[in-house]
Amino acid sequence: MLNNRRSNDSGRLLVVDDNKVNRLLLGRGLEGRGHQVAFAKDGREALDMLLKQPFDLVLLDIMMPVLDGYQVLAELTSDKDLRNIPVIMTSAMDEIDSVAKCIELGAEDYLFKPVNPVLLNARISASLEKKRLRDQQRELINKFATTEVADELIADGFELGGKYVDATALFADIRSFTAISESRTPTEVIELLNTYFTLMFDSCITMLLCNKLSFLENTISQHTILCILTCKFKRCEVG
Amino acid sequence: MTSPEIDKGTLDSLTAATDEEFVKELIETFLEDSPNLIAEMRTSLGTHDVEAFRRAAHTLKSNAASFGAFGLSQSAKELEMIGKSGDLESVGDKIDDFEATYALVEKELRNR
Repeated sequence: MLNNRRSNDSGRLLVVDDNKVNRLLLGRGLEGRGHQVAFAKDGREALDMLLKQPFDLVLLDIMMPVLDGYQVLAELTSDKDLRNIPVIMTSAMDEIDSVAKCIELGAEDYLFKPVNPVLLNARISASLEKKRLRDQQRELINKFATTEVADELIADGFELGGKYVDATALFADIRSFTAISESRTPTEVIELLNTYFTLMFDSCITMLLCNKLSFLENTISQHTILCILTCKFKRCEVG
Repeated sequence: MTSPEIDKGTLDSLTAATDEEFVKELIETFLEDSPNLIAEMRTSLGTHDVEAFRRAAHTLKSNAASFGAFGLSQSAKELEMIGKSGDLESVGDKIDDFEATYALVEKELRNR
């Protein structure tokens, strides 16, 4: 693995710029660093190339004819296969608002023109390294999860839980539940629990509506009730 | 002889970062493209194509800066700003002024 590291530092890059002077300047700097560089004169040409051949990174100009940088970026980030390719926006110094917009749209980074070669190489190396790690992570996750789950995990991260809500947690215990469950079939136990939840939920809602003060003046619309029932199932009964 | 339009330091560091042959190619490209971009500004002014006008001025601004022709770049920036505002009426003689400065830059680049 480590032996491949040096050759992995270079990548297949696509430079998208309508200005030939910029294409020459960028191409020169990148090829000197051992990257394979392809060029597109406008956004449409860039998308055509991206659909036909694999790239590790895109350097994308904002102001271009046919399809501009924003449009290309939007197309890339909405495409399931292309959104994994990091995009570095290149723009003039006085377009800082546009840069902010591009980062929000999903660009990985940005560079001001005329591009400083030291910054260019640093940002490209960082982006390629991040992509490499993401690719490795994806490969690993794909081994134990479906593509959909893998995509979701990569997009949202590995934190537990889905979202934060304002909630009241209600802990309840059914007395002698073990004895109750032992004397009933699993279907009957589930039915009993469902009935219990329905009744508990209804009474909680009623309490919330009738007794707002005791619930810290939260209205039902702002509140989520989390009902946690602790009970002990015997493994053989639940199946 | 001094180079009033071109910042020698910028051009020298460009040469140091690349090589003489590459800088020559870059200058050739610039001198080839610039008259087309100036023509594009004039055409788009006539057709009121604000975006095309702005884009041509933007490219000229960026390229002039790459060679250290900062006065020319500033002049292109003013044209770009007019394009951005959408009020092409206020261009006046600014393209003629730009072209006059460009002629000086071209001469300096050819004689370097």
